[in-house]
Amino acid sequence: MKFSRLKNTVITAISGLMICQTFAVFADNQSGSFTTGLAAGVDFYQVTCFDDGSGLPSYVEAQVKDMTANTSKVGILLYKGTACTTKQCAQASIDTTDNNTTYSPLTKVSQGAGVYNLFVLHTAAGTDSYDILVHCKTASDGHTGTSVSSKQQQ
Amino acid sequence: MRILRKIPTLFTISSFVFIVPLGSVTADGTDNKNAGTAFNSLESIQINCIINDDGMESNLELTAKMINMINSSKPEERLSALSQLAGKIPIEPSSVQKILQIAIQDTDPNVRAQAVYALAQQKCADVPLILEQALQDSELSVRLMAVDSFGTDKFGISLLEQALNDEEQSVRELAAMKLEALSK
Repeated sequence: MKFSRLKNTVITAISGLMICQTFAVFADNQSGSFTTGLAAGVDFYQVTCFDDGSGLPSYVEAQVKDMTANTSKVGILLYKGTACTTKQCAQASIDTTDNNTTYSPLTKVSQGAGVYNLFVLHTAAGTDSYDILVHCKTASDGHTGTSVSSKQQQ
Repeated sequence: MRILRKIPTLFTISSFVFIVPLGSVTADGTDNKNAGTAFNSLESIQINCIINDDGMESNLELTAKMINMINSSKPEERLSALSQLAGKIPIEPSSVQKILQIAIQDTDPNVRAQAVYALAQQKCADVPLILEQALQDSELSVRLMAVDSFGTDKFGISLLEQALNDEEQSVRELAAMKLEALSK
């Protein structure tokens, strides 16, 4: 009886942690900061779009919020593929006002499912923290499977 | 007996679940910044910052929100309050000193760095001396923000020249960029 209660407690705890973990992996925002402070610093993320049951991915939307007020401003560059004639392969956006809570203008690259590259840059040497909102969406603008992984931190 | 056999397995799984998030926290390098400070150059500084409100009417709701944010347990909320304070916002002038005094002693170097910048933007008293002190901080983010905040007067230029000898390339780079802009 005692073991049964212990087993239930452990299972509940594990289930809770697994749910948190799932949200952490597939969360659609990514925070970071430039660790070296160098003007040439580039943080690099890969965004994978997949059908999580909500529909086939058609495009990615991303925007960035510069969380540190200073001279340097944070921007992003989102890109995928090389077939750029009919649909844009790359788009950039900078958060020019860093003492508010709003994000930069939206970037949108429509290159279907797969891996998109997302670069974060800043305009000068300095301390900079940022938060990125990124969503993979279907052709009908519904949210679909989005996974972000960090590849380089500078 | 079957349950007894399952317990070690369950603990193994739960340990893995704990280890993975810990790994992801350190992977982006942000956690290291909050690990503590070797030398907080601003620890004993008393802020004197009664700002001139320029006839702008204070927003009490916003003031209360800012005070709540600076007392938050989340560094990003404290950072957000200070980045807003670096701009012109209708906050009660007497609260600015309280907020900056709390912020300048924050354990998170990024929060302290943003406090340094806000102090300079609000044109508080003794800013040049505080910036000179901040340039001695062991944290890169605080020194970078000090260099970013230096004025263009004689004292500011002498501090920029001093920053050209900093151990970190980014501090030297920012100081050189500012000096070059001043020479044009």
